[in-house]
Amino acid sequence: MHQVRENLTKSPFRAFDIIVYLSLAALVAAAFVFLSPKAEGKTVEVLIRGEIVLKYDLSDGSASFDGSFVRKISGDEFVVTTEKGYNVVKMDRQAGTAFVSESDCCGGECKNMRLEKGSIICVPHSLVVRYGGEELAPKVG
Amino acid sequence: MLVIMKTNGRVRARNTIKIACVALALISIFAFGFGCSEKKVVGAKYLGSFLSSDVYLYLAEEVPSSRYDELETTCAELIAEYERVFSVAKENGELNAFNRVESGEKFEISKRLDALFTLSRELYEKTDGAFDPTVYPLVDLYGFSYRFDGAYSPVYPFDRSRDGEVLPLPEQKFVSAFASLANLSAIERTEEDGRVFLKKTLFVDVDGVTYQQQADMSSVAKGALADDLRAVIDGHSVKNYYLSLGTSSLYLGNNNGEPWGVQIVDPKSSERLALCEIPLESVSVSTSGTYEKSYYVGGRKIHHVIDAATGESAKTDILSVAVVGENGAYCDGLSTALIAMGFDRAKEFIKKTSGYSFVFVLEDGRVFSDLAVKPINADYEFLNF
Repeated sequence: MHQVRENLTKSPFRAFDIIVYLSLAALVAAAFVFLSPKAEGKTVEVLIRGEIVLKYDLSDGSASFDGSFVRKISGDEFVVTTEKGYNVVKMDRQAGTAFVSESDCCGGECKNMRLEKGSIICVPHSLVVRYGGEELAPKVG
Repeated sequence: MLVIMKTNGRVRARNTIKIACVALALISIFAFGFGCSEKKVVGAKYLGSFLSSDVYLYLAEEVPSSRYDELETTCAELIAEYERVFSVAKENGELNAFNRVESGEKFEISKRLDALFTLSRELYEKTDGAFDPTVYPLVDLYGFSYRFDGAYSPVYPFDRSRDGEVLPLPEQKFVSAFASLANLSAIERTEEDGRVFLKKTLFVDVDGVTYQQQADMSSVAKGALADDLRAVIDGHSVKNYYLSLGTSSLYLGNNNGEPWGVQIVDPKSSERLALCEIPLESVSVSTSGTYEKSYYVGGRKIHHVIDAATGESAKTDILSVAVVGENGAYCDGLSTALIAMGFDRAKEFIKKTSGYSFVFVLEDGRVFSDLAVKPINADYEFLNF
């Protein structure tokens, strides 16, 4: 009877049970994180008159660019120069975005625009900054 | 006894919950492991070739490869079927066979060809003949048919040898003769017991050689194919994508809540640089232009858009036009017709057309549109209608 009374007053879950449940939950969470398919690394592309002159991979900071238009200032900052002027494009890997930090264009609207949706366009310099990765921009004509 | 039963019950409940949690965890792990390990497909995918134009599907969402494989197979079959029906080059093609039939002979056609023939008749009438697939003999006469892709040598009495990139102008007797064949309304359509027949009623003799009417539907077929491919893709629950057929036809699906930034190519750019960008989604776009296929003879521009009334390259001030709307085949056909009309007549025509939008690029550097266009090339002047 004493044993029964003890059992009745005990909590339904012992400490060991809780440890097991938490471990299982952690295992499930780990499965979600490591087994979920990874999206491709996001890239930022810079185009002059529709042609890609700079490709920057936000996942690892690697870049490929056309040296006749683009010069690397630092690991994540590039100056893009044409006969019409220059734009400095800065990549923000942490935020997964990019922006034009400096430009001598007459309009100035491109400066400090952050790449979030669509693209940053500097019309006087015929420059476009957009998310890429693969050639996804539809073109016709 | 009651207490013991209650105790045993609580122990059983606890054990049941433990087992359930372990089972759920294992199921979840396996589900993530196997479910997520299926490869996903995203990005640019080649679907096939139609009338020498590559067809690409650009996926903007990840599609499980099993679903994509099925979609790709169905699209490839559809493209092959379109090629069989509409290619004027392939000898086993339906339109090729029709083009070889003589005047007065009834020729049975498939539903697919009938659908585009009917659409072509509608466009022909709406545009007062500016759109006419039966200009094909003239297209060939001026050197813009498939016979001139790659190696070419004269075969027919009206053929000329090339002088470099230039084909000398044809003799006027052939221009006049083939212009007399350019009349879509002269092809009769009849139905018998659910079967559809076409019959040519025109032919012409030049120097003892008889020439028949011939049709080329390439100026509507790409748009029509885009419409049918879209139905297949939508039927596979893919929403975020766009289709491109060569350089002249697009269908834009969704783009994850944002419009696609469609670039219109600068017709004066040999590197196909962008002229402007238009935000679009869930819509078809087709372009036509005089820059695509052209050459100069004695300072005169000869291009592939033929004026059926004169039998010559249409005298037009439009370098290129993009037509945006719901029906891809209609956009496709309209874009060719508008070039043939020239800008003044085109402006009057589009006033009577609803449900479609336009971007005209003129020879003088002006760009007219009724869409929200983002200029990219500042050398052009962008204006609204």
